[in-house]
Amino acid sequence: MKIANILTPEKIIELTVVIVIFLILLVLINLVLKKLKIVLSDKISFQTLLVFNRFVLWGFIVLYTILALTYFGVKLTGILALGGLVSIIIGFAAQKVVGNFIAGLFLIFERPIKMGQSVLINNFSGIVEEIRFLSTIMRTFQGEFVRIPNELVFTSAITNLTENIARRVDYIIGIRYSDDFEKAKEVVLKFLDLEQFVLAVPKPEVFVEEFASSSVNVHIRFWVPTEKWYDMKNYLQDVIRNKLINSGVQIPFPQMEVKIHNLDGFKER
Amino acid sequence: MSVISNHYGEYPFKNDYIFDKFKFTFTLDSQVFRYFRETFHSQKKNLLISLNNIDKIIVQPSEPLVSDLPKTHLMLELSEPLVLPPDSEIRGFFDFPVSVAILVIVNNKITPIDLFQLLPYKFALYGNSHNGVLCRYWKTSFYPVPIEPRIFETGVLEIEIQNSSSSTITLTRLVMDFAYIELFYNWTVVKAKARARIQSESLCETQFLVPTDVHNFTKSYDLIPTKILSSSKFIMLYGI
Repeated sequence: MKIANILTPEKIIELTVVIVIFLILLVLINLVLKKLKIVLSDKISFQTLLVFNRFVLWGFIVLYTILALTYFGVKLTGILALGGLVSIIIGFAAQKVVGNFIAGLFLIFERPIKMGQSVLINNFSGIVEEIRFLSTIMRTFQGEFVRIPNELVFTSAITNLTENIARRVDYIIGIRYSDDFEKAKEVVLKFLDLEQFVLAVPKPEVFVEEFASSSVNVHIRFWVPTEKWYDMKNYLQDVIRNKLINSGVQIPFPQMEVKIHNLDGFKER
Repeated sequence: MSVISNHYGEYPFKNDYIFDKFKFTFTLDSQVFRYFRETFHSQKKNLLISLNNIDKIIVQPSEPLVSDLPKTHLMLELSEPLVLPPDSEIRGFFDFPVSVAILVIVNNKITPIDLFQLLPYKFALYGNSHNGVLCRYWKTSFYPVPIEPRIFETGVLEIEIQNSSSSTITLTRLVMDFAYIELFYNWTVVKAKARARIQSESLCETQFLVPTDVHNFTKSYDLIPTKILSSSKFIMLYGI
């Protein structure tokens, strides 16, 4: 059959109309989905909305294509049979892709990570930007773009830094052997009690961690809301140090006491 | 012209408002109002309000919501534990923190513009960090008779505590969701009411109710939108 016989002027007009209708519907669906995204943004997570949008869009494209092909008299059984054969060939060639896709589905539904969360995956730490069907996009804390295949995300140990609502801050500060530990403890606890984002429950703790060679190492630990963890951890360490110094407690540096028993013999040589 | 006062309520619009522990001003700057507020501990807030006319001002007590960390649960920790015999009920009072809200009225439409605390705030974790809740923390005592609250700082919470269990219970804390609190105020007093139904040593149901005897009291404008399709009850699963 010649192409000229298939593409009659009537058919070209019909094809143009079908494509125009497709484009109009596509624009309309996009507009509705955008509106839905705004309306539902405070009720449904951004990630769920994104997945829903993709399903609707791709669902529409596939359905419209099937309907259009049927309208033009294309027999779908042939395509399906061909599709079956093609899918076997592709299946062998693209096992990894399929694996990533299935892992992506599991990530979307199990939700061990969500968009906007700070995570540590396979030596990459950063913020989850997007969970696509085949890969997860991360922005590292240094601002780099990282694309991790979903299969790797799914099979790796994931540390989610922001999933829980509170996190603990730990400091180890050395004080001199001659300093009063109870006084240092009181100074730190009194200060932490005044800090608004240091949680009252669980109570902050201060205890001796280790009798080290040059200092008594004091362990300070307290809980803060996760969203304040980074700021508080950075801000409080220096403030606690200053509070201790101002109260007369000193942070020692490593010291070594050298004793020479036979000083006379040392001089002779 | 200034308003010098020290009580809750509705005020005619003026440029300056001076209270004992805070003050705020409005300055019309062509098409917008500049709002400036300062508290006695130098907490400042500056903002522009896209209005060219304000009819009235409301200074009201509000939910103990902190703008920096907007959590809607309140943990009341008792300074002395309260022992409740089996199948018993007790009524009493707690004090609880309130925020101060400044609202403007234009053509009978109320718009909240500011929310702040005069008391330092603390937070607490109820339960574990994965399934628990972060709460505004407040240490209080159980009072058998109504107490005098501190204006702009605390309110009085009327509480009914029921021990429905068959064992003696020692109550040390209560956690409740103040997204459902109904606050009523007059010039100096803020009132709310809650109920706690203890089922066992680790389980208790808390709920805010409408306070009794609120004649001549005004209901506070809710700053937290009412949640639809969610329960106003909070179930304490991690001990009391």
